[in-house]
Parts: sequence; structure tokens; C-alpha cells
Amino acid sequence: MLKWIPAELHTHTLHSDGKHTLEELVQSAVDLGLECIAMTDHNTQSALADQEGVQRQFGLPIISGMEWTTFYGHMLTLGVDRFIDWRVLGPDDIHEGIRQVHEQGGIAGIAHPFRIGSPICTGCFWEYTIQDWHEVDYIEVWSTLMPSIKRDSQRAFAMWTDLLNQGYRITAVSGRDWHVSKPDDSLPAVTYLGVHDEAEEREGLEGRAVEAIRHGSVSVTMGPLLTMWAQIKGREHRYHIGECIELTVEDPLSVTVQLNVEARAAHYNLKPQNLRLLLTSSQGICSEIQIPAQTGEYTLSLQDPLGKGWIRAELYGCMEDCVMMIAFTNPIYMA
Amino acid sequence: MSRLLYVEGTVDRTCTQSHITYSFHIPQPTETIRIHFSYTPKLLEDQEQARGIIEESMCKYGYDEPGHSSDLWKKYIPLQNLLTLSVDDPVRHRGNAHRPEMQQEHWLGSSAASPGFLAGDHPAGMWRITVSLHAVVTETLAYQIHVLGEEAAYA
Repeated sequence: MLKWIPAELHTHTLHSDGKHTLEELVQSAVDLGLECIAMTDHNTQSALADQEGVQRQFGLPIISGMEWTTFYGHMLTLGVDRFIDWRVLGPDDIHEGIRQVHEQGGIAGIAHPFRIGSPICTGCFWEYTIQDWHEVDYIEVWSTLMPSIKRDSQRAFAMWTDLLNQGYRITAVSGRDWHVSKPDDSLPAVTYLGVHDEAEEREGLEGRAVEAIRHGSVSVTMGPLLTMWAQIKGREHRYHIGECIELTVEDPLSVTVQLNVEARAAHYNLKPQNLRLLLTSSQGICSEIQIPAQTGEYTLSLQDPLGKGWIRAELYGCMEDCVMMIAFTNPIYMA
Repeated sequence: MSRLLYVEGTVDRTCTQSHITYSFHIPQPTETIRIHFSYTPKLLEDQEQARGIIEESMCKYGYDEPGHSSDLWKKYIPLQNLLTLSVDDPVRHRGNAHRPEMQQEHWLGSSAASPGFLAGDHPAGMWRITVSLHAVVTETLAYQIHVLGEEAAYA
């Protein structure tokens, strides 16, 4: 059984330059209806000294992480609790850093790759040489509050799409880069992690959350939850987000997209309207329908899917008085 | 209380994106390590210099689209120096204070430490303090590091 967990994957405390304690941050996350966070302070993990106590107190799993706040890029590492020395790595050495993250069982993601760089925001623009994009586990394609209307995010989203078109399977996530909480904060995005939850247990959720990101079982949204699965027509098996369909014949695919406006409904406002629901691939838009802004399930047919490489769902409409991309799924891949 | 290290240094813009590491010996296990770290100035006050640096950065990172107002650079003032400090004991990394303040006080105790650092034993041996110069935007910048060791009160 796949369960979708609303998470925030990029946070800071006063152990670096955030304003919260870990307890205050987690309380704010609970208040926003989140069910998991990653703790990613700049170059330190000291906020995690009482990780277990805070998890127990709030019943919210915390993924151990760090933001490598370097001179040539900011790299998020998740699922790592041992220090890996970023200070010795030059602009052409990031693969050595990623290798050490993987060796520790963790994953590595590029934070806000197009935020303006030094000396305005030091190291914020990604300038490390990537020799092999297969080694990058994820990209934060949406960053800060109201990310989908921000140009930095749109550049990152376009880079991710280009990498998908080149055949790389990289997960896309949002990250608030959460330093402070104010009553008048504009809307944050949420990264939903699809985790297998047979036992309905919170125990070990951090590890399963990291696995979800590693495998691309991720959907990103400004509010409603958008998910999908695909089936080869005439067969029972369902392929979920992040999975790969091995196509051997030119059978048409049917893709079922689910829009859920009930999950976390108290935390965003989606007015009645017609929304645009798209299936996209490297060939562009494969299918487009208008749907109402309410919970529903829509089945779209994809003719001649061979060679498309990937498909994802995208939802557009009006939120916070802006016409924007409201949500997108990570791809289902086709080989 | 014993003085373990005192250094003063001056850097210029060429030192941006470099690290300066001080290795020093702590002769015996110590109960608490205290670090006073400061640098000055914080801000680049010269507006013309700031404008030049910001416009160069906007151009480099694709932020100077045609049609933007010529005052867009002002969105990014004031430009700031940013130095951060990290500590390694002879055995392990002890943390990093990635914060903007130009005057910082840190301490590492056996059961607690100031934010950014890990509590624990403070073994004798070679310790390292690293100043990471993320940004030096002023023509020169002066810094000071003062490390003190403190034995347990009952010792």
C-alpha cells in the first residue's frame, strides 16, 4: 500500500542561520499539516543532538540531513548522520563528495540551482562540474515560498526536464529553505513522498522517505495532492510514480491521475474553477483535459508510448490570485 | 583558564572562496573550549563598488534580463562579508557556525555546546580551527580568533 506523506525537505535552525530551535521548527511543521521534515542546517548537524527526543515529543519523523553550503553550490544530503568534509572539495570534485554520501547510505540533491550566486548569495548558484548526472539523486526544482511563480524555480524545472529528455532519472522536489516562520508567510509548496506503509508504522519512516526520493516516488504541489499510475491496456499491473514500464509491444497505455483536494485542505485555498490537467513527455503535451477543482480520478490514454522515455502529470490553475503550475508528479519512466 | 590560540589576520578580496586553517596543540584534556571570533567590517559601504560587483554577479548568473530597471542592483545591497568558523578536534569534526554575525562566541563543553557544535570530550592533541571565507567584498577585512581552555572547577 502506497501512502503519500507531506514533507518539507529543506529547513534550518539557530544551529546555523535559522531563527527556530528544532522544537519550534517541528511545531511549525505540525501546524502546517506536514508529517515529515528533513533537517538540513548549513554545514552542521548539531541540531540533531536530540533528534529522537523531538521525534517522540511531536510524533514527526525527522530525516537527518545537511546543506553543504560551499563556495560552488549548495548540496542537500539526506539520510547521512556522519560528517563528510565539504571543505576539501574544489569545483571539479563534487563527485567525490557524492560518492561519500552514497557510501554512507545517503542521497545527494542540488539545492536551488539557479539562485543568484556569490557574493550576493554565497555559493547559491550551482557551479560544480557534473561529470555524470546519473549520480545526482535529486534536484530542488521549486525553492522558497510561492515557488512555482519564481523565475529561479522555472529555470530549475526546465533544467530537470532537459535532463529527463537526455535519459537521466533524477527526482524533483520542492524545498522551502525554511529559516523563519511568520504569521503572514505566503504559501509554501509541499513535497509528497510515496512510501510503502504496510504496517502503518511511523518507525523507520525516515529511511523509507529517503528511499522514496531515491526512487522518484514523489509528487510536488502548492496544495492539492496529484498522483498517477499507469497500466498497459488489458493488464492488471499498476506502475506508480518513479517506476519504469518495460514496454515490449506497442500497446497503448492508460494513465490514471488522481487529484485529492481533501489532504491538507485547511492549509491552502483552491477556489472553484476549471483546472488544466496535462500529461507531458519529452515530446511535449501528450494529453490535456479540463477538470474541476475537486477530488477526482481521470483516466487518460497515451497512444504509441514507445520511445517517450517518461511521462508526468502537471496541473495548472489559479491559486493566491496567480495563474500558475499548481502541482506536478515525478515521472513514470518507459524503457 | 588558559589561552590556547590567539590570531589576528587581514585578508583582501582575493581571499574570497578560500579557507584559512589554524592547527594548534592542546596539551591536556580540557573541560570546556571557548572561542571568540570576530571580523570587521561587515558591509561594503561604497555604493559604486557595490554596484559594480552586483551588476557583474547579475550578469554572470543570468539576472540581467533586458527591460529590467537600471536600479535593480539596489535589491541586493548591502553586500556583506561572510566568514564562518568550523572546529575539528584530533579525532572528529566538532561543528560549524554558519552565521552572519561579525562577532561570535562559541563554546564546547562535555555535555552541551553552543549552537552549531557538538558536545563531548576534548582530547589532547592537535586541534584545527578553519575560517571559511565565503565572501570578502570589502577591499580589506581584519579578523581575530581567541581560543581559551577551561578546566573543570573541581580539578
